[in-house]
Amino acid sequence: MNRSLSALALVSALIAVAVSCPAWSDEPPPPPPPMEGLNPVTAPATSTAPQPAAVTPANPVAGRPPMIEPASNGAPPPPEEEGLSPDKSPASSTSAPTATLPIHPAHHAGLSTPPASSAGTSVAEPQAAPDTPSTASVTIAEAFAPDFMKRALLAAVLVCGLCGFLGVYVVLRRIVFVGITLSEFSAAGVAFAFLKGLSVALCSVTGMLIGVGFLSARWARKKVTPETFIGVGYVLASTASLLLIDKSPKGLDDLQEIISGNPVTVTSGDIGFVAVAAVLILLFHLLFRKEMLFAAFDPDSAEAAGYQVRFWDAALFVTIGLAIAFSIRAVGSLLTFSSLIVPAVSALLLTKRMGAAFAAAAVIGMLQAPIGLYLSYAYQFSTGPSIAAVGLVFLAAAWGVSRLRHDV
Amino acid sequence: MGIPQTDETLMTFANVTLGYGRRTILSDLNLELKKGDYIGIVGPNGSGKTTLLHAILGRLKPREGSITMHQRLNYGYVPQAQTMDDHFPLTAFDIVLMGRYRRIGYIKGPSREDRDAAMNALEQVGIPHLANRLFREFSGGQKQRTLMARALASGPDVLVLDEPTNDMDVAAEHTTMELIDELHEKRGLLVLMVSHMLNVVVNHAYQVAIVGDGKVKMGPINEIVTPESLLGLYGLPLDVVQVGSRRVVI
Repeated sequence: MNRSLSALALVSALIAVAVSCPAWSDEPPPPPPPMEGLNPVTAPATSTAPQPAAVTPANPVAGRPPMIEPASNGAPPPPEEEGLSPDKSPASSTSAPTATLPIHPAHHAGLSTPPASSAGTSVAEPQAAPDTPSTASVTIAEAFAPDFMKRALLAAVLVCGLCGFLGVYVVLRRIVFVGITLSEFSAAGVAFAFLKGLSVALCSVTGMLIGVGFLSARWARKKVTPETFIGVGYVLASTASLLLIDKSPKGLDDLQEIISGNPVTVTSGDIGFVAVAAVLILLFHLLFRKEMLFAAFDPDSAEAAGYQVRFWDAALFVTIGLAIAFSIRAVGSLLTFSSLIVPAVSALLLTKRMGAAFAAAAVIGMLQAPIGLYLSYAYQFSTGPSIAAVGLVFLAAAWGVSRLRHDV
Repeated sequence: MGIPQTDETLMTFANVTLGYGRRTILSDLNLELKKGDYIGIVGPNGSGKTTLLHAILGRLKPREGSITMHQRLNYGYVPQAQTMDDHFPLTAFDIVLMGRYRRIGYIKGPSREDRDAAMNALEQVGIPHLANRLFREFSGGQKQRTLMARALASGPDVLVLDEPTNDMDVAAEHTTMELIDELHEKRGLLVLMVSHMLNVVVNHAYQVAIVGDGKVKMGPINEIVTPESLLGLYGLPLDVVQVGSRRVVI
């Protein structure tokens, strides 16, 4: 079990780092499909005052989230690297195949394509280009000076802290895949919003609530295990998403941006949504912590004591689902899902009390956000995976501490 | 052992039929449960013991007939210790305090009185020194005592135990049953104990409810646990014999 956990952590960290590498393939990706309009999330964030760093657009085909580029010695970046702006065609910004390798030193040198010999070079080697600043020289103050980084920090701290807290229930109740299934239901809601031109936030939450209803129902439990229905729910929501995307006039690009998310593109409105949701969810869990804990730990006894366990189960699912729905809008599915699991596991390895586990999970979640964001900025990794990777490093450290204490 | 039975009826089953969906599990139940009763519920696997327990706990409504509670009852439910989740980092005290949650009410936190009641319950089951130890570190017997303490902390009228000695060695089984007997005597609770261990039931309970063939037959052990009833229930030639001060089913 312990070996499996450590191996899983190692493999996950490697995968997270690997998917963060911008020069993953020698082959340039195919051009993206045409986009009909601006990305509703990206546009407001990048349409503000000139940014000292560029937010490169996602590769819609590969589904990769955007990355942050540090400014070149404070000089404004070339126009083509300033990210999307409302008056700039998104299609033109992503149509060149080289747009998926924007942070390679060759781009800073003004080359349209990187040298073939260095196509697979890690982004952590910018010193190879003489006119590119050393990323290690980026101070914390510099990294968090831009407004979009401040917003990213706030959003990531809120999401990672909230999901870390709720993750203790997710891990202890062994409903890890409920999280990913609810996120798929939420995504299906987003797809429906695109199809019908409705509010993305409203449809995202509605989709999540349908998911909660689906997972809370007692479907032929004598014949099929609940885990199976979590899987069925995942298939159902994913299928619905893809079918709706097919008919969506907005196309794949916008939807992927919403689902993948990116802390550096969040708006003040997004942060407001997440902050309100976080406060309400935490308040609910604080006020009803006794009932939630009893129903989670020993549902039979809680029911015998007179509690409506199904109600408290549904309340837990709804709060987790709301956290997912709002977090995905801000930081994407990978970071949301990772924040629901990894900080909680670290906290449970480190602590021996329920209250301490909740507090530690929230704190670890919040701590991974600034570190991951800084590393993302300084070493030009994708933001979501960078924060998730820091969480995995914390997990490895927690496991090591636990081993030293002979707790595992 | 003193017999603290009274004539105070707590619950009455009148022509009750129980089932799930279209399936009838138990029918024609006519039972009267009194304060101070000590009833062992026995029967083969799948006979409907848990169904009966759910009906007593109010978690399953009768399909036919009526179940009358003659007063508002507080249940102290003791689940099987081995079914509890060891991943939760909860101490014995945390778990016993759960027994007070209904009294505490929503939103509020536990008061000094609640904490004292929880400690008192731990003392009653003989493990106050384990209050701050993690539940997952306990032996099966210690877990069972913790769960009993939680049931006691709620101030129950009815103590419901589900297989309290499952997976226990002889020593742990003995001490656990001694504790249940003591609680029954001291508190005068209605004790309902589901068990598949006939030897445990015939030596500790005062009455037995045999669940089988969709029916429940309840009465004093000497009248109900007979070679004929055991043959009908288990299909085996069993008998209850007296060995010293103990009854043994062989």
